[in-house]
Amino acid sequence: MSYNIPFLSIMLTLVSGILVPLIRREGGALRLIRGVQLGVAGLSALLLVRLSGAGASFSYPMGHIPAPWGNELRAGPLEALLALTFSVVMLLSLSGGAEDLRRDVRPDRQGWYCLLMQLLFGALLAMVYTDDLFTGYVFVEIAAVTACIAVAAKESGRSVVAAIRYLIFSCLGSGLVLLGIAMLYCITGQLLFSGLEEAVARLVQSGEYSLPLVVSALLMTLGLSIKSAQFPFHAWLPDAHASATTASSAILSGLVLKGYLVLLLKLILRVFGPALIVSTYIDDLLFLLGLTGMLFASVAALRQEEVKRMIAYSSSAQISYIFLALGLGSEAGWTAACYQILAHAMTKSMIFVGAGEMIRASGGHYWGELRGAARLAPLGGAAFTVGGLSLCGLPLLAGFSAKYCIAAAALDAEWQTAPALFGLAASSVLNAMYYIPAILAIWGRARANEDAPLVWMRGNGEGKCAILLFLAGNLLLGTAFGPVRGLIQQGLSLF
Amino acid sequence: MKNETRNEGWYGRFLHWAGGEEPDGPEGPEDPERQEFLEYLEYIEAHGDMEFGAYRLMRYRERREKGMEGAQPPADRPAERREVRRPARRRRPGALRRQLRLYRGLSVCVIAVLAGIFLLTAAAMPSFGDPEAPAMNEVARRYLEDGVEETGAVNAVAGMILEYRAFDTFGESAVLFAAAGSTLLLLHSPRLRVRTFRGPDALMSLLGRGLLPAILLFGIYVIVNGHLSPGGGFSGGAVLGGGLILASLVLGEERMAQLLSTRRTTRLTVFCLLAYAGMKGYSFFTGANGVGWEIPKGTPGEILSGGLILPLNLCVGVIVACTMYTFYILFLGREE
Repeated sequence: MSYNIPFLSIMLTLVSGILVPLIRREGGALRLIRGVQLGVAGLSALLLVRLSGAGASFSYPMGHIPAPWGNELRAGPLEALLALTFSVVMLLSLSGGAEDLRRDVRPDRQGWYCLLMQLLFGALLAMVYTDDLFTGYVFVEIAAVTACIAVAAKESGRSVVAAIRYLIFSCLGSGLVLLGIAMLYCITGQLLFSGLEEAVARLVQSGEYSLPLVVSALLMTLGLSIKSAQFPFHAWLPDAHASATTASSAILSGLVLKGYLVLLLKLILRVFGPALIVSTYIDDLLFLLGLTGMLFASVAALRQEEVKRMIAYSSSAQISYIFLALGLGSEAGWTAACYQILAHAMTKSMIFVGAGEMIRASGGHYWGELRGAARLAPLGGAAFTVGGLSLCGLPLLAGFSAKYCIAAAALDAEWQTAPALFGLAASSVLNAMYYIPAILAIWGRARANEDAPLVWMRGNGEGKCAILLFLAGNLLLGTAFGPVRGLIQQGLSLF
Repeated sequence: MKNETRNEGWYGRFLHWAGGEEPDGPEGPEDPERQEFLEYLEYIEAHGDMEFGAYRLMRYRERREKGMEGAQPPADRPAERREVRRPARRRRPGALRRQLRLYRGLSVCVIAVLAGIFLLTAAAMPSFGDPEAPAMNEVARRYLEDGVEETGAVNAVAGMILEYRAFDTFGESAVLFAAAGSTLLLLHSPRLRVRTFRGPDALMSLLGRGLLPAILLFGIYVIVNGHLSPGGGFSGGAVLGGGLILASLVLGEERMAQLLSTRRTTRLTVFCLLAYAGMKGYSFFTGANGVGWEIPKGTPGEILSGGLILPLNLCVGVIVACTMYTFYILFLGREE
C-alpha cells in the first residue's frame, strides 16, 4: 500500500484539480480540493511512518518500462516529510485565507482559482517526488503558470502589474533552467537523477566537457535562485506577495519558493555531487548569495510601511538562510537547509494568514491603519506575534530550531564559520528590529478601539482552526527538534 | 541642444544613449499622429464613442472651414520649449534616471558576458549529429530499436512521448490546461451578456469555405494517424485549433459561439484530461505493481495498434485544439 502513495498523491491531486470545472455547487470546489489535501497529508504521514520505521527508500516506475527509459518517482523519509509539510501548509493556508478569498476573487472565478491552486499543489508534490530532471522541469512550468495567476487573481491594478513582473522573472528562471538541462543532456545523455550522477562522476574523472558541465550547473543554480527570490533576484517578490490575496501570499511564500529549493537540493546532492560543487566554488557562491541576502533583504524590510511588503522582504531574507546553509557544503548544512525549509514554510504562511486576518479586521495595509489591529482580530495578532518571534529566534519556536541547526552546522565549516555566525546574529537582530515594533504596534491601543474588549472567537471557524493548527505546527517544529532533525538526517542518507 | 547631439558623432551619441537619453530629446521624436490620437481620446471621453476615422474627418473639415489646412505650426516654438525643459530634466536628481542608466550599462555587460560564455560552451559541446556524442547512448538506442516492439507505434516520437515518458506528457497537457484556465480566470466574464459579434468576413468566407473542411480533416488525420506517421496529438491539435479559428472567421463568431462555447471547450478539455489520467493512471499503476494486464499492442502499422497511444493522441489533440481556440476567443474579447 505505502508503495503506491507517491503515485496516488500526485494523481489524486491533479485529477481532483481537473475535476473542479464540473462542480456546480458554490464552495464545492474549495471543499473538494481541501479534502484531497487532507487525504494527501494523511497518506504522506503514513508513508513517513512506514519509511522511517523501515529506514528505506524506493523507486516507483511510472509505467511498464524501467527507469532510464520511462519516468520514475522516488520516495524516502525526507520526501515523505516534505510532502506531509507541504500538504498541511497548503491546506491550512487555503483554510486561513478562505474568507479573504471570498472577498478578493469574484465568485464565478473562485472555482478556477481552486483548480489552479490544486494544480500548483500537484506540481509541488511532483517536484518533491520526481526522480527525473525533465519531469521536474515540466512541473516547474505548471508551478510558474499557476503561481502567477495566484497573484493576478485578486485583479487589483497593482496585483496585475506584480503578476506580469513575476511572470517575466519566472520565465527567465525557467529558461535558464531549461538551458542548463539541455546542456547537461547533451553532455551526459541522461535525465534520470541516478544516471546523471554516474555520468557526471565519469565526466569529472575524465575531465571531458568540463566547461559545459560547470556552465549548466551555474545556469540551473541561477535559474532556481531567480525563481526562489534569492537576494539579487528578488525584485519581483515584494509586490507579488504583497498584492495577492492572503491564501496566495501564504502559498507563494511558504511553498512555491520551497519547491524550487527542493529541486536545487536534489541537483546538488544527487546530480552534481558535493565534490563537484566544492571544486567549482558553487557552494561559496551560494553561501555569499545567502549571506548578502539575509542582511540586505532584512534592511529592506525595515523600510517598509506596509505589513505584507515587510513580510515579503522577510521571506527573501529567510530564503537566504537556506542558501547559506546549502553553501556550507556539509551534511549538517543540508540538514539545516531542510529544517529551515520546513520551519519557514510553517512560519511564514502563518504570518501571512495572521496578517490577512488583521488587515480584514482593521481595513488597512499600512502600519498607521494597523495600530491596534490585533485587538480586533486577536487570533490573527497571535499568529503574527508568534510567527514574528519565531523568525527572530525565540526558543521553543520553529525559527529558533532552524537557526540553531544552521549555527551548529556553521561551526564545523572551514572559513565560513565566522561570516555565517555573524550573518545569523546580525539578521536576527534586524528581524527583531522590524518584527518587535510591529508586534507592539498591533497590540497597542488605537483611538478607535480604546475600550474594545478582546474577542477571541469571532468570525469564521475555519480561519481560527487554521491559525490554531499553524501555532501547534510551529510549536511542534520548535520543540521536537531532535526527532525532526533525525528524520531529515535519515532522509538525506537515503536520498 | 538637439543639433549639438546630432553633430557629435556616433560615439558621443552612443554615450548619450548609454546614459539613458533618448536620441531625439527627452520627449521622444515629435509625433503629430500620437498627439492627434491623444486629443481623440480626450474627445471621446467627453463626447461619447466615435470611430477614429470619423473623428479625423471631422477635424479635417473643421480645419478646412477655418482655412488652416496645410498651415504648419511655427517650427521654432516646440524646439524652444524643449530647450527650456531639457536642462531642467537633466538637473533633476531622479533616482529612476540613475537606475535606468545603471540598468542599461549593466544589461550590456551582462549580455556580453553571457554571450561570451555561451559561445565558449557551445564550442566545447559535442557537435550536432556526432555518432560518438554522449546523448547517443543506450537510452536513445532502445527508443529507436525496440520502440516498435515495446509500444506498437511505428512513429518513434509518439511511442516516446505517450508510452515511455507519458508522465511528462501528462504534465505538459496539464500545463496547457493551466494556461487555458488562467486565461479564462482573467478574461472570461459570463455576466457580460451584451456583446457584439463580428459576422462572417465576406472574403474569408469565400476563401475559407473551401479550405476549412480540408484543414479540419487534415488535423484529424494527423492526430489519428499519429502513431503511424509523423504527427500526433500536439501537432495535429495545433492544426485543428487553427482550423477552429478559421471556422470562427468563416462562419461568424455568433454561430461558433453556439457550436463551441467556452463552456463546451472547457468541458471537452476536462473530459480529455480525465480520460488521459484514467488511461495512463491504469498503465502506471499496473506497470509499477507488476500486475500484468497490459493493453494489447496490435500489429504495428495498422490503425488500431499501439495500445493506448491512439486514444491518448486523441485526448492530447483535443486539449491542444481547445486551448488554442480558447486563447483566440478570449483575447478577441468577444466570447459567447
